[in-house]
Amino acid sequence: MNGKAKSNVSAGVRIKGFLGSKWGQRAVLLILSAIVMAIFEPKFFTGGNWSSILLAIALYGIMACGMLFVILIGCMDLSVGSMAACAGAYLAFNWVNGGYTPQAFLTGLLLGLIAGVIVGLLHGVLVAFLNLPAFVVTLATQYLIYGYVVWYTKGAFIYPTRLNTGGDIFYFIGNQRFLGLAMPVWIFIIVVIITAFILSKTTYGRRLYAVGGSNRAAELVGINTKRHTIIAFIICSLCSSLAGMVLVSMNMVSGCTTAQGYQGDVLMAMMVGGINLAGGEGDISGAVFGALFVGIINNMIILLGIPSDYKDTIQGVIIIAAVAINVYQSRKAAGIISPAKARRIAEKAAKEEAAKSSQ
Amino acid sequence: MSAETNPVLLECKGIVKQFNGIQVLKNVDLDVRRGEVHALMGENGAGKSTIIKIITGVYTRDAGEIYMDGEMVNIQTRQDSRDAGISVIYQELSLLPALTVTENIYLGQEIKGKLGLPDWKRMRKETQALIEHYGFDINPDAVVETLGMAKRQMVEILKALAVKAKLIIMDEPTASLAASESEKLFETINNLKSRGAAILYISHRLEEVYRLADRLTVMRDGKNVGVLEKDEIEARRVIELMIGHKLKNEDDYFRRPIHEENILEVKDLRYKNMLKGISFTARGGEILGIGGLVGSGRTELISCIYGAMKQDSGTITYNGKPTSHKILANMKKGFGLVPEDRRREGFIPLLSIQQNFALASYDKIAPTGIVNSRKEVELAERGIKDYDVRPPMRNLPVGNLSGGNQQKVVLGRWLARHPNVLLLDEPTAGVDVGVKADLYQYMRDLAQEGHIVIMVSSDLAELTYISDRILVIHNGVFFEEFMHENVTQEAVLLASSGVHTEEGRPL
Amino acid sequence: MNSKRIRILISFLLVVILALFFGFTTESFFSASNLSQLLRDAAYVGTIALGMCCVIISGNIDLSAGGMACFAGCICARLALAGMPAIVCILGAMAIGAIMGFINSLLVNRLHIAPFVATLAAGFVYSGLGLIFTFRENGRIVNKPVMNPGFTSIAGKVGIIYYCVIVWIILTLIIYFVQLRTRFGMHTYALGSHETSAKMSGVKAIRVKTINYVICGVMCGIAAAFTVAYNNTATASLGNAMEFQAIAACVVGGVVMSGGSGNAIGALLGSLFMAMLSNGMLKYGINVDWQKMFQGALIIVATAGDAQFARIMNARMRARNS
Repeated sequence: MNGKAKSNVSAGVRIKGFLGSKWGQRAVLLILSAIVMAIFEPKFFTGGNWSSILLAIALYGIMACGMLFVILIGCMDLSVGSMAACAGAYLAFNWVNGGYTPQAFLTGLLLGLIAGVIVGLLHGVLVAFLNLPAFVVTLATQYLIYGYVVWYTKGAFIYPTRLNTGGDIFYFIGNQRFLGLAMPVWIFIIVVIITAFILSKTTYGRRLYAVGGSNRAAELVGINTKRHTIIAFIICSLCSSLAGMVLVSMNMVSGCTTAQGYQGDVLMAMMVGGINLAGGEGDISGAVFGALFVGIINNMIILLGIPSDYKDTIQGVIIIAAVAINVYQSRKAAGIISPAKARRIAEKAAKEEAAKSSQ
Repeated sequence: MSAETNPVLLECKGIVKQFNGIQVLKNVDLDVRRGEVHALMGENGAGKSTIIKIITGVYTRDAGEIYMDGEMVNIQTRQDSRDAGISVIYQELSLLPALTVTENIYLGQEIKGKLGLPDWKRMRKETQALIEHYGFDINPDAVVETLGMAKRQMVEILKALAVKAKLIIMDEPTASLAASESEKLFETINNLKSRGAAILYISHRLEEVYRLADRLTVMRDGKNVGVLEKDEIEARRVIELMIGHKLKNEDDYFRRPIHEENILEVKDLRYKNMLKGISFTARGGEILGIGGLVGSGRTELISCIYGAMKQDSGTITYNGKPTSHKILANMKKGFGLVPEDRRREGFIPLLSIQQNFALASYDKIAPTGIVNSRKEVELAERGIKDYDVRPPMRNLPVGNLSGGNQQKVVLGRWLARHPNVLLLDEPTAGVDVGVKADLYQYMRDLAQEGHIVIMVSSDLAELTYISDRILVIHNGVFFEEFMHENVTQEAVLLASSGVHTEEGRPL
Repeated sequence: MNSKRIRILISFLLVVILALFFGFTTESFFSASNLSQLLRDAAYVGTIALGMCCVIISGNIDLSAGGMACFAGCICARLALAGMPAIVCILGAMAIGAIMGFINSLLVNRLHIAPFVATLAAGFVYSGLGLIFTFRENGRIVNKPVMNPGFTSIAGKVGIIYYCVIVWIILTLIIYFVQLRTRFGMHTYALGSHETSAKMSGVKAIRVKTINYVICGVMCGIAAAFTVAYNNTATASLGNAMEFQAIAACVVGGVVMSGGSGNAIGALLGSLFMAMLSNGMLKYGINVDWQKMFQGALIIVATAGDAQFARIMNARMRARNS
């Protein structure tokens, strides 16, 4: 994508590609979805539906913001779903077992956040100091944490509801409305603002792009790449635990299946948002748009009455298509053409030449 | 048999190639005769590598014809090129370090035995025969990882010979070789030539071309601007053809005042088995050149000074205080490093000129950790202006610039900090002549301000031209010291190989 | 002794130590029925790990293995239910596997998508397709038994050895021979250890990668067919997390994640290790979900350990040469 040159600089002029600019493509995607829904299921546009879409977007979005840090340094975190389940379980189980007191809530909250820090630290240390591939490490911790959650919850589900819900703090973070928006959406907005600030305004964020762009070069200008990597993983896990806690409060249920499979949704958000998996390229607008799109797609699947069995398939196809387009555009920008295409061009030229010389 | 009367082996006629509408090759003719070493020279971007890539089938030509032995060949892929009898020696990329010499030579062109399985015994025998025929000193069972660069190159050559290549293309073959290793390569080339092989030799280094070439083609701006016969090859003429205008006299040397308050002292530095007790003192206002063979520990020396590597023993002090093992701490003291491998270590290709400039100066322009965009823009604008980066667009990714301009960004971002100690590792490798002159000027300006400039270089002309003082490493210690006034390229080369000279002062 | 042999020996010793440990600390570990069951489990992981090791050696990864097994298994069950002879069912599963493997290679080679993302996403697609093709009544998934005696007979055994174990071992030997002796095997290692160099030497990178992905798909198909026959049904959880187990097996068996080293024998030993671990842990009363914790930790420890091992061996080799 020609716009990649500037995507992390400014939202200014972006060079037109085949489908128009990055923003053009995003607009096209949104308009297409809107048209489909307008034709098949106008219920899509009701306020009630949108408030549930916004909740989904908020959840994916909080995780996507965290994932953005990790992908910017050229890594990947597949454990976000399990991490969310873990933090959610801490919060819900402590809340219930602690007798619904604010102290119990605080204990659960702190435990969830500490777990996020520890898991992120573990990922970061394994990736930065032992040079293990991030996707292998996080694939392993995905199961590791999942196993832990099963053990912690004893495989049971907990429904942290009391008869007189409302007004209590646990209910508050997932359901309270404020200025017409649900609390999770406000949390999402705050996370986005913080992420945007860190990435564009702090030296940590700026250096993160350098670490992802070229680790060695970043090291030689005095950047502590290991520390930057570890912090990125910690931020990612923290965002996941936050999302997990919001999720259990929202659904008023917690167990080992909380947020199961969310890594697929978050990955889809990153890919649709045009974040370069190789690192060093991508911005907050990509993560937010990606979350928005994933929220809409998942909602469409439900509204259109597509059996939920198809969700995985659709998700997989969208991820593949999105990455394929990203890759195609960045290769085109770099002037790489496939050998087959090169051959076609050459053959065409040879034919023209032959035609010319025969005249 | 004189090369001039030999039959033409490769002939390219009217080759045209364009990328994204820009013509990179404009009607290029090139011919190589049997049994000759044909040199190809030109500045960066003149189209040398493009024509090579067309001949070897990496790119396809837009127009033009290629003949081998008078027959037209249609080269579209690497395989077409191999089938036509053309082989390329890449600098280091094409060998697999974990495999043996035999396996490497026959990888991709295995001899099949019974059942269609590869017959390694036979391949080993063939390799042995080939090695003996050309009198190389290589064990066919050695694992490539354990071989030196020169021997690896011989393996590359053997690989070409194993498929009976008629034309061997060598692209900057001495770039990663030490001088003594280069000698071996030249012997091999003469040996191949005497056996009738044709060699197309691409190099930046004039000395090599004088020694080896029977004919020389010079390219400029995608055109063949002249073919010189052996007796016509002469430095000034070649350079004039290459850059297209008269050279100004380069002997404009003057000694700058020494600033004694700015002193870098290295005492008895040891690193693995590379550095065995290096000591020297560098003073402000001085450009100190460090010579020696590739792999003699020069890069390790400046990496230790910078803090990118940790020495085993020895002390490095700047103005009496020991330096840190952390890069950031040294940077704050005013150290800077322009690394050798610019693309991998020097800059971040995806990031813009502005961000690349800012990266090295965040401790100055954003000490609180919060970035001030205005300062960042100012820094980049000033850098682009001061160091004449082209095109002057601060939002352009550095990966899209030419090699010379990339180096200007890498050097410029350090110069913007006015570093007290600037360390440069092969600063002008792969940079064209015009930009080189600029880079030298920036180094001199920095020294003029009273700072220390330490430059490692394999380019003897550059080393002798710009340095006030040259220290040559041999066997892990400084072997000789030269002053600018009486240094010669030959003397530095001799000292690098451990021979004392009249010009130098033994250490 | 070179580092490759040492690495295989380490895997072998790990297997022996684990066997002795469980043998002495649990009651029925060495009983014929337990061993028989253990080998069958190992064959299931092992057949997939065999395909996985081919892909990893070529420098790629296939995270869709579980999904492929799921879809191939569901198709196989459908074929069996339609009364097809066993051979058709197995060939059908293999063919579906081959097609999926080929699609993976297209994503990686032609669309230039990073292998782990491409196969992760493709895995979603395959397991989703498997879900769609499971048996259901009134829209609900049911464990419909596959009434096809010809097909279910492939789940039988000779003595205590199940057929699938025999197939697994034969396949391992064939792949080992291919890796060691053939041009294709050689090219796979070359490609995995240094792609650019291999390409410059005329290794047909795309073809080699494609074949390895197809092998992995076929292996998943075979594993799925035997599992469907044994379970007598296909469910959506078929193949669940199998890619994870297979990668764990490969890593324990010395197949290095970055490609270019390891072999089929290592994958076999790794699979045995993984199967014994689950089997033994069950005897300790640790259930399947908790076992994932250990397996996750195992992958991390093994990859980290391998990195250290390679470093030590390299240092040794360099010291010897200088």
